[in-house]
Amino acid sequence: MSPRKIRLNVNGIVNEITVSEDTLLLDALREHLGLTGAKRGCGKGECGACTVLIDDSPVMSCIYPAIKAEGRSVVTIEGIGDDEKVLHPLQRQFVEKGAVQCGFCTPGLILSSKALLDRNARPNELEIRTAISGNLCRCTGYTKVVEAIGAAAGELRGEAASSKRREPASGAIGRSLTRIDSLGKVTGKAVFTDDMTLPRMLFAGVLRSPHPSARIVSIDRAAALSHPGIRAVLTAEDIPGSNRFGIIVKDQPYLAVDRVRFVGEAIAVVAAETKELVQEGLDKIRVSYEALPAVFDPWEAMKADAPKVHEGGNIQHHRKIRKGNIEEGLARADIVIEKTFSSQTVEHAYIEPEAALAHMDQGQMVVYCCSQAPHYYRNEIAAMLAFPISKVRIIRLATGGGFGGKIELSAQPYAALCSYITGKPVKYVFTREESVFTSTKRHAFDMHYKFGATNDGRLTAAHVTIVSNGGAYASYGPAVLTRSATMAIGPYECPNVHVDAYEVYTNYPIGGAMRGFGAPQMSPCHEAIIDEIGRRCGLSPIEVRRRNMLRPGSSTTTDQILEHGVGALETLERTSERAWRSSGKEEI
Amino acid sequence: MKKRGRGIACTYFGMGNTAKANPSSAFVEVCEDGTAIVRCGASDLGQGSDTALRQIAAHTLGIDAERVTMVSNDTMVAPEAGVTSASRQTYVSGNAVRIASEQAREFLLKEAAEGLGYDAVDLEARDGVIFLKERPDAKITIEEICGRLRAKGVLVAGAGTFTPPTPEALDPETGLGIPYGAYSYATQIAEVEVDTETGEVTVLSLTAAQDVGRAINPMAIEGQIEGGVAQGVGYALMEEVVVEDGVIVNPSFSNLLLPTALDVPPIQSIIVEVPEPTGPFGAKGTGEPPTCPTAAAIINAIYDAVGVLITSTPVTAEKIYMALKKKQGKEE
Repeated sequence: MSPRKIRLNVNGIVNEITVSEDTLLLDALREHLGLTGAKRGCGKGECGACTVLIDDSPVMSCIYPAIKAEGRSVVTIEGIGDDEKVLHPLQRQFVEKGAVQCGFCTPGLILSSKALLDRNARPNELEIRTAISGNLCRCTGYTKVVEAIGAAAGELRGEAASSKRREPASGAIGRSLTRIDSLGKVTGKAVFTDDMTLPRMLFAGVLRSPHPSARIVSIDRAAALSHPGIRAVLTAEDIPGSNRFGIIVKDQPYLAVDRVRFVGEAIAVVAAETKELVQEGLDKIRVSYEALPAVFDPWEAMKADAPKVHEGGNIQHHRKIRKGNIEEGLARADIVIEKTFSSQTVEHAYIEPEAALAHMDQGQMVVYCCSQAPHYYRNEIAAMLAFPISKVRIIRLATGGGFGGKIELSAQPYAALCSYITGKPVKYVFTREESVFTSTKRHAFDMHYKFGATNDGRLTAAHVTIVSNGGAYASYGPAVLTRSATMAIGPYECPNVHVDAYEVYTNYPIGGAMRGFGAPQMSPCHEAIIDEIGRRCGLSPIEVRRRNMLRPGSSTTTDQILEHGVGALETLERTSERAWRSSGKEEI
Repeated sequence: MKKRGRGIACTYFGMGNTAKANPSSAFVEVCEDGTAIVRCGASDLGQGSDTALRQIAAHTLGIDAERVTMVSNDTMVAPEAGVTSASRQTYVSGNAVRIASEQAREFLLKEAAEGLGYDAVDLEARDGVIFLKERPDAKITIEEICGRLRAKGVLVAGAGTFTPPTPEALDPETGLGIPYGAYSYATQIAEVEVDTETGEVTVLSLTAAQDVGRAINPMAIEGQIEGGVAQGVGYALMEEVVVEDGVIVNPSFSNLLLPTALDVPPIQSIIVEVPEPTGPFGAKGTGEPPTCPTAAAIINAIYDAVGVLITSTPVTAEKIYMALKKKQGKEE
């Protein structure tokens, strides 16, 4: 498609830029005009991070052709107010009400709400929620966002601000200070990794396995190197140091050596002058596979004759807890309740996809990236490049959510390897699909529970079996499993506990850390059973919990005696006062 | 017919990595104008650790939080603070920052004691001044103290490290031991409405209380509770990565459903403060506990509304509908 010049009116300034017919407005704004406040979260018009206003209406700029915007008025977050001292009421209220966390979705949220307030000066809560329902936010739960938009509407109508929070008389503890980073986030100035460029920067991409389990017979990269703009096509043999990583067990290769264990496993990495050439290089690599038997179900994988995902066997970790005597505890019970539960695989879905920009600076590897674990990245990348740890520098830029998913390495080692080999800065940004295919997940669990209790509702025994689908590599899996075991019966005291928890390798996407870390799977099990014990004993849900709850002096599942700081009962009483007594369920 | 129900669920959550050293470190430097720089490599992804750590340093040094600058994002500048995980940064890095700040404060108190002619232990630093506890009008500004120290050739700095008191690994055979130095506790109550014709669930309200030890920044804690609950609602009712023969079949947001502003109910957060002596100023971590009990509260509320217990998440309308059919069949 031939390039053409268009005149784009952005934030009241007319710019002449040269684009092709398929250039997207988001790329025109970010790459041609340097307006990086609009973000790419999904590239499909589904998350709202790229929202801009066109003739006062919110539009997803990641699916909107730039040429269509010609002759219209485009407003980006930079046009709402890019001076931190002169903020739009929406920007100010987002900061003051704490409606900004990671900030990646914030510009889009502010623009959608501006479009609302421009046509409706007095929106109700449902109207506010509807207006922002195309903007996904993974951090805030929307509560403070809705509050901020309501407050901004009030401010625009000239009403006095509602009363401030009560703050302590002196000192800094207990103050609801606004986040220092939120000013940059409401103005679009905060620099996320994809907002950054370096001169003569290359782009990277990774060839990934389409097979869940296969032997790599051969990799032919000759054809991929035919174009001069394709600067490197690298496989495992190009890694100068260690080709193994993992935060607990180093069982995962950066680039597969002789076999692949899950769909999405990295095989080769291409660095090229443009994103199009990266794709061309990836398309020209020829990999020949020999499919191997795969196993996806952890119960199947535990059988002796199951295909082995790793040489050492498929049971990656078995965590036991044996407290008291489970048989005696069950024998002493008046009531025994047994139930089986299952949970699903969950994606973190941080709105900012994984991204890294690496370059060599006077013998030091510098990696700009989003991260929850920069020092862990530093150590792993040093081992990969055979560098001393002190010769790797990780600079965490604004990070658009993580929730556990930005602990394990993702784009960073590939950008670093390509930069080391080519001597050029290299940027690698995941697509949404690549992020979902390759990032670690909340583990899917199968759980079997058997609780015993006396007629007065007190626990005597808890027998729990957990089977976790760990996927192809360990990542944080063994630690997640251990936490599941320690949290398996909830905040209750029970003298006899028996837990068997198994983390099992399969050819499934990799399980890892996710907010809650193995505890969210447990609570529907122990809480449903506690409720049932209450019903059988004629106790209210509040009272049955009160009778079993941990308090100072209690012994936990692992027989740790709690000495102090045990506020379990207080949380129970405070919530039930607020939300139970008022409901007609007076008996608590 | 639409039926309403309420459900309650409780959780507890250990702070920091399980039965394993997970140290954090921090450097604190007080400049000659009385402002301070805190270096601690705790990653802030928007949850607010930079702000909480600033507050801890400011409170310890006795200066306004606005006078503290935080550097956390560069491994060449900020020392290792471990991973932002396990709800550990306020608890673990908060302690490292507190210890580093206390070390720096020693210089200030000693110098002030000399200037005022009292013993350092009788002095306190608060709101920019160092004063005699018993007679607050006997005071000197921290800015002045810093200037005096600089002139004497003394630079005010401190270094702190902390790892939770979990001395050894859990016993491999019994699993017994001390997995965590401190725990956070939470209770949530969900109110739902279930459409018995379709199985569809609407979460009407969510009340969430959490014992945070001591609230360093109440607004930020509310943000953590609200965001955590929203992820719990998604986990309970809609989120699922669907995998067929090892292939994720829903990798886009069009079919990988996440809660929008219309799916998340109003959330009432209740901050409970039972001080934890091993935490900085009694504080514990906040990030993860809110996600843990939400699904359980919703599942128990659905049972309360229509009398069926759904034992697999996500609790879709289809699962409820099928369970209601089965229950009806049994009753007839």
